[in-house]
Amino acid sequence: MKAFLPQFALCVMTLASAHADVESRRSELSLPRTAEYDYDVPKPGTYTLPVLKPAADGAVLGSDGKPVRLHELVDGRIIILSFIYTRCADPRACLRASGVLSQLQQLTLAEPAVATNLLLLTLSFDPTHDTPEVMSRYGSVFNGKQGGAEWLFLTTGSRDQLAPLLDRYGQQVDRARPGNATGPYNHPLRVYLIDGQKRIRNIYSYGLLDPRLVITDVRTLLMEAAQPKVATQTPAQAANQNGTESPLPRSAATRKLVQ
Amino acid sequence: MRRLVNNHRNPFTSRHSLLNALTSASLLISSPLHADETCVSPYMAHIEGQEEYVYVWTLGIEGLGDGSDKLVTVDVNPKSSDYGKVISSYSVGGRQEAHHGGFTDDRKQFWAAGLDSSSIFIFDVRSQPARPQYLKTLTDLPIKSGGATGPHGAFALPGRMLIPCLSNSRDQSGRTALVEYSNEGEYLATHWMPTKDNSRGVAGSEFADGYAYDARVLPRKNVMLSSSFTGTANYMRPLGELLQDAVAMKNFGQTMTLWDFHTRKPKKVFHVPGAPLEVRWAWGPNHNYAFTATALTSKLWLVYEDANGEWQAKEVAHVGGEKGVFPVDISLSADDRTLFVGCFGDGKCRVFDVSHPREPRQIHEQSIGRQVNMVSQSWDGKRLYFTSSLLANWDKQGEDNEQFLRAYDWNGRELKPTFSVDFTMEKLGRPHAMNFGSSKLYN
Repeated sequence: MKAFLPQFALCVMTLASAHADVESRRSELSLPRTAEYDYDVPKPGTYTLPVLKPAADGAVLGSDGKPVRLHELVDGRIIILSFIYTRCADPRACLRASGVLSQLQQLTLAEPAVATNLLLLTLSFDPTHDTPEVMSRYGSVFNGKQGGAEWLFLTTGSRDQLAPLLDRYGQQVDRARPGNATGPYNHPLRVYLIDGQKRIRNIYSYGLLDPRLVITDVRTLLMEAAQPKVATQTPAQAANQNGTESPLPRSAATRKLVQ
Repeated sequence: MRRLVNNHRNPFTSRHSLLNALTSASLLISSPLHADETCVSPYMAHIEGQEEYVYVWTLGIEGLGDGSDKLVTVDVNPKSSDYGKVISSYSVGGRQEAHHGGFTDDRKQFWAAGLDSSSIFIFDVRSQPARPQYLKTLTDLPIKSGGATGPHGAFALPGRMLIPCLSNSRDQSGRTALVEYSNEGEYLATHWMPTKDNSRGVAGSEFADGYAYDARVLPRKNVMLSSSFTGTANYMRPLGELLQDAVAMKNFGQTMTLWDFHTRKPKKVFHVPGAPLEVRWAWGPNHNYAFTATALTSKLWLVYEDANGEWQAKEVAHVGGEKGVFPVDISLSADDRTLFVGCFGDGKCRVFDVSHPREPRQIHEQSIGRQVNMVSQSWDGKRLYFTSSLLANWDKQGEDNEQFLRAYDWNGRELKPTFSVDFTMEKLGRPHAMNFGSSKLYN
């Protein structure tokens, strides 16, 4: 124990130093508040991101046409996964999502440590039109930041291949009525934050897709990954973690839980 | 399934005696609802045209029909041959103080909460919008959350649901929490309300009572606002008893809490006396404010961001006469200009011009029934619906115990009745929360 204490203190000092270093290099702070995102972003690591559910695996095609499974791409990195279709003309939907991923890539240019631990994925839900060639051309419009986080543009081989992915991620896609101004599909904007253990940790819709918040969440997960592993928690312990602590002494409910 | 039904007689047998009793007690608390199309979560699609269905989460009444809580679907499409009629009903079994509910962000599911059992019933409203299909019941909220009980409603966030609770399993007081579940029904997190003893550095901690009721988000400002009501010990108690218990009557919420939404950390507690209930954020792109109504003090309050970027709370109007009319639900129009207020005390809807939010001005007043709780309006502001029930043990008695869904057209000056469904005649129960449905949401 005596030998452990200095090591623990050193670890805490290192983490504190790392935190201060992160604060001094937060590139997202260079982005201004906007009318849509009119607030100051929180500091990374000052909050927790609960595990929403496992991130589903599935067969996809790279923009080179080669088949690969989503999980093979992860390699321990944090993933930002965006479902889009290239014919979408809604500036508040797919174009917005790809624009934000471009901003995220830009933000990582000056931070190799973040760039190497982050993978951006854009996956089409319109495989009939969005062939690997189309995704390659689409990607060339957005993906031009050498040195930033890697960004891959994916599609699937068929609707049958796509359907289970959409279902398991909860990405709704409906056919629009003929003549719909923004394209042939109706869909909510959804972008997923996935940790290195292939778990969904946040879901961003239009109102939440602030690049400053997304990169802050990425930093929060990186800081979490650098921490010593926490033992498996009971739900009540998780509740206390996420709400500071329960104001209640052990209740009938929690007694049941710990028996 | 547990049920807790009390047969104590409600002391109020007429509107007159009700108001007298309220005056003598100086207090009445009711439990309104939220569901109108102008107050659904900003993270979901709105029905901007004609709604086709109203889903009514209904309390069962012992001896009436099957006596069970149920989700009732009413056809409200004027072009339908079933316009104004009940077209489906699903009984969940037992009575658990059916209260509020909400859709998931993809509007595939409707979650309906029971205040007494702490159960949450999940329905599929996408497959057959005219006939919601029961999927499953969540019964683990008290244990998984660490003791929160009394789920009040369900507010959609991307991929998850925010469940503000009213009470706790230890002492059934109003100290409680906001709880999150995934759309798949898995528990995610608990956020306890700040208290004086555990303020977590929140501004206004001297007011922090730990109570909650409604909770809604203004994404553009990254803030969430919660209100406060009371705990199980009060809302499941017969109203006549409660009004005579001076100690119990002190146990009602006096606060609203502003949160940093992304971190889910409370930032500031406002002193808003008199049980502030529904929270209604304005929709305008520069309208950084929300309204609430305090049931006990019969006031409208405004929570707003001032010129210095600080959030403040201010009383802006009195509702009804000197004795108060117990405003229990409010509905803000999509253009932020008109606020409809359901007043349980006299069964009236009062309409305010809130174009100048700090100076609301009443422009209309109309009787809806002998008791009225919820008011819900269409996104275009042309149609309004009202239901009658507050809580099983708090509804009026005798002739005043009308139980209805009533629809009106609003022409900017007055409400014109279009149809009414008598939930007693139909042997359905006490109609409570209303949420709108449409097959056009799903192509």
